[in-house]
Amino acid sequence: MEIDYYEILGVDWDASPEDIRSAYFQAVHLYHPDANPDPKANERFMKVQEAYAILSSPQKRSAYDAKQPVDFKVSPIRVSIQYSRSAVQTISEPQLLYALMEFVGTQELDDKKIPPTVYCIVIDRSTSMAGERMDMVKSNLMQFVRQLRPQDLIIVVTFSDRAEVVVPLSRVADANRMDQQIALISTGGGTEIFHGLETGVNLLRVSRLGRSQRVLILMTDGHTYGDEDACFELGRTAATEGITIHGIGLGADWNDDFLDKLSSLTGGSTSFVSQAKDLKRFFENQARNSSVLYSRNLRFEFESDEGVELRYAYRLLPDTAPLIIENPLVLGNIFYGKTLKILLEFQIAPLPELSHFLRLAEGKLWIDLVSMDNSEPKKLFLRVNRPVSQALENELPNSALVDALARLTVYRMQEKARQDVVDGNTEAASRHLQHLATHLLAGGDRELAHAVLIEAEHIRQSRRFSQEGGKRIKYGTRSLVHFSELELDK
Amino acid sequence: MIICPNCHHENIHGAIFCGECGARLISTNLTTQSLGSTEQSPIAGATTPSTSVVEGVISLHLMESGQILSLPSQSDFTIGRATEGQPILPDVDLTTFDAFSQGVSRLHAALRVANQKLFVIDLGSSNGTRVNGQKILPHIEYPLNHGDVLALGKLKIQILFRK
Repeated sequence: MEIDYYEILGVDWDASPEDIRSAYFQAVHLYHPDANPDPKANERFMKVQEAYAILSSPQKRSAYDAKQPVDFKVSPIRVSIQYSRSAVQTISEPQLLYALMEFVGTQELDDKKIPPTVYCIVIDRSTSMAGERMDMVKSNLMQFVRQLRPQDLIIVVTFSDRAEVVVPLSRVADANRMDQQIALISTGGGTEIFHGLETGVNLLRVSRLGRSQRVLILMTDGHTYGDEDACFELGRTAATEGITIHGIGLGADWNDDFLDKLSSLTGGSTSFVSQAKDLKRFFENQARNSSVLYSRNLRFEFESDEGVELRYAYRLLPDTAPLIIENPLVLGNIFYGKTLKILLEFQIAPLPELSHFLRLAEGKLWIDLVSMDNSEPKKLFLRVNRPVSQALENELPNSALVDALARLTVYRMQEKARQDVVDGNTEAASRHLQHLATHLLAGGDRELAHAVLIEAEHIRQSRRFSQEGGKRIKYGTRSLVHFSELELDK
Repeated sequence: MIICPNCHHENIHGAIFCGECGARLISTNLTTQSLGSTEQSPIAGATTPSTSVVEGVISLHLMESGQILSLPSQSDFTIGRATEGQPILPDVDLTTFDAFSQGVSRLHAALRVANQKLFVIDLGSSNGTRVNGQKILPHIEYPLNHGDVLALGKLKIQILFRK
């Protein structure tokens, strides 16, 4: 392909003539030499003219399309976006706008094309893991191996002050030998997560078999000290190589902020395990998902107009987790037959009178399909934008969006209380928790509401969250955000 | 700027839920749904007034008007008054009994039945809840017996609860 005219205008291959026309006018607005003195803009402007000359003519466009590679036309993902308002308003104060994005894979599931998954389980074997906790991990891990598909592979690494490889890369069929190796894991020493993580990531790097999926599951019950940033750096690199990291926190004393951030950086999520059944459920989900992964680690590389700030991003489906606001934004994985659902909150500064169009976030969506016959990441143009309108209309937002926000509001109230504690404002923290409890009570979550009220009292006395209560509330309200697929069909 | 009708917090234009207390800021024509709940409540609004007391059923005797409300068999009820734009509607809406001027909060109290015993929980109401004249602490369960007088703000309700 010589020049991608569609990319220059930022439209998809199936864009209507009307879409192309409006994309052209938008681009002219941005790059016209009269409006933009930058010499690069002039260069870009020439390309825009050239692209429009081809794409605006049906004959030239179809001749151009015919020259493109075959898979060029098949968009692997269908995207739909709903906004809280149909237009941005010209008002003299800041405003919020929400966008609910849904991504669905368009190709059919073909079992033969799903590559094997390599799981690397990285287990904290520090002293605090001794006894029941380690036994629970061992037995669940042995079970997990038996739930996987025959082509899948397993690595087990343990760490304390240093890391050891317990099970080198092995086939699932070797489960019995693996059991013996797992059973021999002993506990003792401190918690230095970076050592374990580095060993795990390196083993996954060298174990790349064709298009295999690679997942690292980090299990810990403690805090790591001083190597957090090194872990994040490693997580970022691992993500670009297609490795997803999931975190599992055992008991009450682990560092949830750390695990949340590390897993979110790679499109994974973190689970709170307080009982054996939580761990069982996590592993069952993993085993089920590995056979239906469609695209890993969807990333959105975007630009926004001046005055637009992406304030908050949250993944509602298939699992729920707040996203880390970065560019590119890591959105998560897409599974066959399941929707990936992301909610974005934009804050928009007062707009100049003359603007009539606002780009909230526009750019490339990088799609890394798992299926065997796709080797290069594909990109799709994604535009989150709104016209600007003078009129102040009173419109009702879409009910799916309001429902999603209602669930998220409960979770964010908990986040707010956490921030209050960090700021030293215990009064506000306990007030926010009381509001949260009222919502939970009204929703029938008596148990969680009770935990929240106890926590509010705890904060008044000790000025911080308790280890256990804080996590219970965080992951409890997070699980309330979860939609079941059933509800979506309604 | 949008001022929250519940807590008077000033929210940024375009907000849909209050950033301070989580109340819904827009009124919609949609069916009401509780925040965070996964299923819709089967009852809403006041139940039909009746004059007889049925066994095994909780009834509320509104002492001012003399009316008796029988509550359907359900283990949890919230009591309050419904207003427009409210995120959570109470199961029992007392608006028609002059609740506003009597000082009843939107979500004032909850009644709960467990093991054939009845409890009341004040949900942090503005004007408080009294059981037989005694003020109760918010968010804590208090047992109720047949004949007890519950005061939500100034609105007095006698509990009729035959086991």
